[in-house]
Amino acid sequence: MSITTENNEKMITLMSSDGEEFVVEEAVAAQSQTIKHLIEDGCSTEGSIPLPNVTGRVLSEVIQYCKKHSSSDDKEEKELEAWDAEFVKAADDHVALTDLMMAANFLDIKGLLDLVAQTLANMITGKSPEEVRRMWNIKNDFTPEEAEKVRKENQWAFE
Amino acid sequence: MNHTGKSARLKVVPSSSIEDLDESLLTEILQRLPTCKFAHQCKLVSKHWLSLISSPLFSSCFKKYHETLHSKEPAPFTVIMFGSPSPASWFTSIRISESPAIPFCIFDLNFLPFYNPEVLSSSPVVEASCKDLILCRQYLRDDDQRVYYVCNPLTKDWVAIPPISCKHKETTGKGDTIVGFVCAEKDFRVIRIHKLELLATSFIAEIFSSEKNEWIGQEVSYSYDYFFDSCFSWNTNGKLILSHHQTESVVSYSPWEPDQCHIIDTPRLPWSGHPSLLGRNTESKAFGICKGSLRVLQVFYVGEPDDHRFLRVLELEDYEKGAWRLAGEVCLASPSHHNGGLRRFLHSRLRPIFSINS
Repeated sequence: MSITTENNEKMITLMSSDGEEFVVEEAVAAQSQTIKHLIEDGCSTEGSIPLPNVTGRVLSEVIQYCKKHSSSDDKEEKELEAWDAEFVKAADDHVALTDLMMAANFLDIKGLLDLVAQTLANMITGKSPEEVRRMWNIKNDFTPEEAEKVRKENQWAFE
Repeated sequence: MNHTGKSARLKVVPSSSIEDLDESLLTEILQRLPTCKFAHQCKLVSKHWLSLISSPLFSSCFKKYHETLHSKEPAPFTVIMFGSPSPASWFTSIRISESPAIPFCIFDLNFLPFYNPEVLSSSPVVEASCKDLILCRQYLRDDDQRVYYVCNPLTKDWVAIPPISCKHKETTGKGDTIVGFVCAEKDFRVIRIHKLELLATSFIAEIFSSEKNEWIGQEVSYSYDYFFDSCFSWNTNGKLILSHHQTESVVSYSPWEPDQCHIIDTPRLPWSGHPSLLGRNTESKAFGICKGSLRVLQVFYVGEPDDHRFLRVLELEDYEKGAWRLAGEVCLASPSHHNGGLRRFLHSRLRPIFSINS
């Protein structure tokens, strides 16, 4: 069911994978192309929109982002950039950025996907392969010989 | 995620790692790394990353992403130069790019078979380049047995071209054969062009097609004042540009339509600074490809050689009609203030052998 506020803004209820409900303005939810298409196809009239791939914690971050971006126009680009930087820094304390990225991908929010991907790329930049592995708990599955082979074949990159 | 139920919010929710991202999302991240060199360093993180970064799909995503990012900047280009005088590395080549994503780097050709730094005559020589691939020639023995390789100096992949079967006898000595190289989507062609005789009005083109894996020979008639002394690939339309340093025109030749060639005259457009002096004292100094279009650098002298000179770059706008447009013009009032390299270049009567390749 859809609720309407005093200023006639249509409200949409989003339900996370762990059952948490979020009531947001349609314009905010429509920042997500996935939700926008669901609304256009009339899937929201029967109640809340279930989002089986997104937990409540992640969804709450995503909604913060969508709220900000639906209320800002292009003139505030600089301010929005600064807000994005703060947002992603704060989000990093609450949720895994990879979860946020998967949610942005599933919900098809291009700006958020770009923002998180760039943040993750910046975290990798300048780090050695060992440091990258440590940061993300990635198992080193190369034998010393294999690693040496990769290094040799890509010598130009390590000079 | 596999954690559902009422208690999930109270617990610390197990969160994902970069390892849980699928290929497309990991590509989204890694294509944003600042340089191609750094992306290649990340191959050492794990086998998964190695296979992803090594894939052609990643290369094209990375290239596309960085091209969009730097779309206002000049297109990256490759210059291959022959390096130091010491025999072991005399063919060291250098790749230069203006794009910050693709750094300057030095490579050599020691990965090719029969490489022997002691024997100068067996050293591979770069004959041509196209789309970051280079065509090398190596003499196997002292006799004229030559082998061509197409290789990627960064990945060190190479493929040998079968020997030429349709042998057209080379009539005279050196300088009467030029070699070109053009890549298309699924096919590349190596082209050897021979002079027939001194005042011939046709030349012989030997073309190797990687798709058919064979050489074919073809006689092509042309009317041009000289036999060509240089060529480079115009990759956007799969043509070769053939030229001689003393002429004001070039010849375009498509190895996909091997029986004909097309002369492109450079224009005699008025110079905006000197509209009365139509084309007089104009010399076409260099031809090249910039962002897919053929360009020519022209020099115009006023007064004594060192008084004034104007440089302008023209771009071929309409291939069929031969229409050019002005891309830029500059006056060098006192060239002595400009750098020596440019001055020497303007004084020399030669064109650079390897032109700029976009």
